[in-house]
Parts: sequence; structure tokens; C-alpha cells
Amino acid sequence: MNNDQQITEKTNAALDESVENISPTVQSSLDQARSVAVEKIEHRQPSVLNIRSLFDLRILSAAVACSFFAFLILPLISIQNTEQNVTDLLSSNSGLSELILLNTFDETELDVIEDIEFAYWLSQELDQDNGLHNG
Amino acid sequence: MRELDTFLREIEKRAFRMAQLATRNEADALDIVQDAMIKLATKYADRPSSEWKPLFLRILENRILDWHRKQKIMKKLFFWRKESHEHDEGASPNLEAEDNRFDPESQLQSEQLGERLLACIEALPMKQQQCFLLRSWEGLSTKETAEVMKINENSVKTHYSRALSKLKQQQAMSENAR
Repeated sequence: MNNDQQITEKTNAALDESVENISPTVQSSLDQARSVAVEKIEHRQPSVLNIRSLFDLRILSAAVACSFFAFLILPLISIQNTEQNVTDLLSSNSGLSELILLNTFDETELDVIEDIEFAYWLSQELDQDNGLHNG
Repeated sequence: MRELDTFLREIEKRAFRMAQLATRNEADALDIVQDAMIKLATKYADRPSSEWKPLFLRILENRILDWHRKQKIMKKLFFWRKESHEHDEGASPNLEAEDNRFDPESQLQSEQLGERLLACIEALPMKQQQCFLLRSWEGLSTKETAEVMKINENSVKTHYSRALSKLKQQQAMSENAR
């Protein structure tokens, strides 16, 4: 046995002995620490499939973020395309352009237009009635 | 879960001893060991049991390193405070500590040598100390020790060699004192 082996064996023996002589207080603290650690496992949600091990949480978060982003961006892109189509059609066909223009209005705007049209029609009707009575 | 409990029960004392040698503080050592246990249980319990030991030792070493970094910062911030003990990586171990319990009996001499060796281990710079403990006491290979300590294998060999050299000096001094 060479000197290196001898010294390491003696040192290891001293370390082993020091471990065997750990105080009851320290041992009790270690027992408590171990119990706390094991309890952490018990309180984890049981999962038959262990989904967490299948999916990295970071990848899931990134996927959700991308999906959310896609849901926000895609409608905007389709609206932009629609508006561009509307612009092109307006310049080429006035009758169709009027229809398309109306279709681009939202519900509130359409209601206002209908109210205006109704008011105009009503005024026309009243004028005609007045004309018949006077005539 | 029972398997993890058994593993922790087997390793906890040695882990505590390693942390205590590094910190020279029982309470801090217990905190470090508890943190390491909790992290292993919460993050790596699903790993194969063959991986638990190197994982646990790596977590333990990281905690010890964090403790040392914190102590360095605290020492710089509160430099006026008197330190109860010095723990400088560059400090040489006190190989000539007085021993008033000298006794010619061989068993007592062996015990004294053991205590001196422990004191020498405790006084080593942190990396030399942990390298020695992991290589010699825990039986890790050079490569495994390098992975645990996040240093290269040549550094492990250097630190281990220096630690061994100081221990041999201590042994020689003990033999000369007989």
C-alpha cells in the first residue's frame, strides 16, 4: 500500500467515524429535512400519464403564446386583405362597390344608414300626402 | 417514494458532514442539506435511482458554492465585523495547531491523527476540500467529480493532488511528533 492510499484510507476512516458520531440533535434535524423533502413528492398531483414529463412547461408556454398570437394576427390579416379587395373592387365596379361598401360597415353604422333611409322615405311619403291633400 | 426516502437516509449524514466541513457551521450545513434534499425530491425524483447520487451531490455542491459566494459578499459589505473564523480559499491550513492532548498510546495517537486529518480537511480551500471528499470519500471518478463541481478534469486532478499533499504533510508531522 503506497503512501497516497494509506493517507486516503486514514482520512476516510476519520470521516466515517465523524459521521457515526453525529449528535442526536443533528440527526433529528436531518430526519425532519428528509420528511419535508419526501412530503413534497406526496403533494405533487398524481398523474397516470405523467403529462408533465411528456411536455416541457416551457414548450407548452411557447405553444400557447404562439396560438394566442396566431388568433390575434390572423383575423387582422384577413381584415386587411378584405379591405384591400374592397379598395380594388370599388375602383372597378360602382354597383358592386356600393354593395361591398355596405358590407364593410358594422352593425351600428348600418342601423344609422337604415334610419336615414327610413326618415327620407317617410319625408317623401309625407310630401306626397300633403300634395294629394292640397291638390 | 420509499426508494427516495431510503436513498436520502443513506446519504444525509455524509452530505451533512461535507457541508459542515465547507461551512464550519452546523446550522448552515443543515440548511444546505435540506435544500438539496428538497430540490432532488421536487425536480429529479422521477429520474432513475442510479442518477440520484450524482444529481444530489451536484445540487449539494451548488448550494455550498452559493453559500461561499454569499459569505464573500457579506464579508465585503460588512468588512468591519470580526470574523469568528477565516475561510479564505488562499489560506494555508494550520498544520502546526497546538495539541495538548499528546499521548504516547498508539490508539490515542491514531485518534489524534484522525482529528488532525479532519482539521486539515476542514482548513483546506473549498475546491481542494470538496474535490478530495468527492474523489476519495464518495468514490467518484475524476470525470464524475468534474461534472459535479462543474470544472474540468485537469482541475479536479490538481485540486485533489494538492489536498493529498497537505494531508501527507499533516501525517508526517504527526509521526515526527511521536
